[in-house]
Formats: sequence, structure tokens, C-alpha cells
Amino acid sequence: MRILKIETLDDCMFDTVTMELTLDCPVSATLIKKLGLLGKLIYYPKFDIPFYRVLAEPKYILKGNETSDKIKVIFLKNTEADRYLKELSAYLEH
Amino acid sequence: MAVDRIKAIQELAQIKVQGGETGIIDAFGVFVNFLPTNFWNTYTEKLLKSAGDENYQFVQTGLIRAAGECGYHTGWGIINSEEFKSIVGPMIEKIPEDILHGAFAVLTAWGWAESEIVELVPGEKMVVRAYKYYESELKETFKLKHPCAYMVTGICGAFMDIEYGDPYPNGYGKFKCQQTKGTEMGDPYGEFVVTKG
Repeated sequence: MRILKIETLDDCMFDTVTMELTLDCPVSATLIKKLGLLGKLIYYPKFDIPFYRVLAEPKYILKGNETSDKIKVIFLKNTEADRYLKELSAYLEH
Repeated sequence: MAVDRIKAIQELAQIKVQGGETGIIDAFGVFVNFLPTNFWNTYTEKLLKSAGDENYQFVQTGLIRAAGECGYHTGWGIINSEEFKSIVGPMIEKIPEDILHGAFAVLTAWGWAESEIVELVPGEKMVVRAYKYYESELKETFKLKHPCAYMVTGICGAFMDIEYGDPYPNGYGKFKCQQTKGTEMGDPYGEFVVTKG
């Protein structure tokens, strides 16, 4: 799995950076569980479109919808965003 | 309306909202914090007392504008959030009317105001009823001469701006809201009428 596109989104905090990652395939339940290993997984599989959030503090928070090809990432320290993005990208590819 | 309001509220209320190690509460596409409602009510009460009759209009306008600007940006974050897409998204058939109904489901689920749209003329007018809203508790500590749901008033106008105003973020202020009834004034519910400003 690869990240095809990275877009920085507006957020209202001074020290966070929010990015939207577009993947080369939709997020599956299996991938959500894999993402959950990065922190604390909060997953609502019974919603019509399942929703998940992964609290991987102090690095970042991941969130999104199952079947979507996008993952939102809130990097909690803007100075570390590039490093954690590289880590996350490598994790997704393996 | 395609939105099943009860189902939406029940599911929205299931989503855990909690602060992390950094204190940030990230939910519904926005960052929020927990504060006792008394904090805001006391703030409003002090402003009203200080203003008196002479400056009431000034304070009323300011409080509604504060709520409106907050509601405009927060509302945009909410309706574009993954949580909203997950729960309300599948119920949406008519855009933007169903999105508006969903936004008031969020307002209810979060405890800001138990509210619903009772009349909607797309692009022109909206009437909202609120049965419980924390600002009405002001009546317990302050002798009110006017309805005081400034937060709901500002938010109702802002939600219409999001859906029928110029594209975000340039659409704030096209619609105006007036509170015509309030439980704090002895009415059975609060009523909020939004029209083009």
C-alpha cells in the first residue's frame, strides 16, 4: 500500500499539522486493525460507513472511514510532522 | 427528509469524545474543549448585568456574532468530518437540506441544544425549535427581559450561511436569525427564525 497524495489541511491550532493522505486502495478492516497497532484504536464497525480513530500520542492521531481511500492525520507537534510522516509511510508500505 | 434523526443522534452520541495527552479533543473535524455550561452562562450574565438596558443591543449583537462566527467554522468542520460522513453521510439524499438536518442532529447529540428544523424553504428561510439548551438556565439566576439563546441564534444563522451562502469560507453573514420564543421566557420551546439578512 502506498501513499499517492499528501495534502495539508487548514486546522485551527498553532502547533499541529493536519494532513490528508490519499492511498492507492480503499481502507479495509484489516488495514484499520494494522493502524490500530500504532496506538489506541477506537473503531465503530457497525456504523453504515465504519469510522475509526487511532490515538498514537504524542505523535499523531489517525482517523477516517472504512472503504475510503483517504486517511486524516493530525500531527501533534508540527516540528516533528515530517519525521512521523516518513515513519507512517514506511509502516503502510510494509 | 431522508435523515433518520433519532438513529443519527443515537450513533453520534456513541462516539467517544475525550482529551488526549496533549489536552486536545479532536472530534467531528474540529478541536473542542470541555467547559461547564455555567462558565458561559455566568459570562453572559455578567455581560448583561454590566450592559443594562442602555447597551443591551450591543451585547446581544456581540454574543450572537461570536456564536455565529464560531458556528460557521465549527459547523463546516463538522459536516466535513469523517464522523459525519460515517453516520449522516449514508442518509443524505438531498443536498444541502439533508446535511442541515444532520447538523442539527450533531448539535443535539453533543448536548448544545436539543433542536430540530421544523420548516425549511431552501435558500430562503429556516425555522428551528430547541427544547433544551443550556442558555435557558440563565433564567434561574438572572431576571431576563429578553430571550437569551444567543448561541443557538448565532449557530442557526451560521448553518444557513454554510449551506446557502457564498462558498466557505466567504459565506458568513448572509443570513440573520431571530429568536422568537424561548423556554427561558415561559414558552414551551425556543424558536429561531432564519431569513436572508
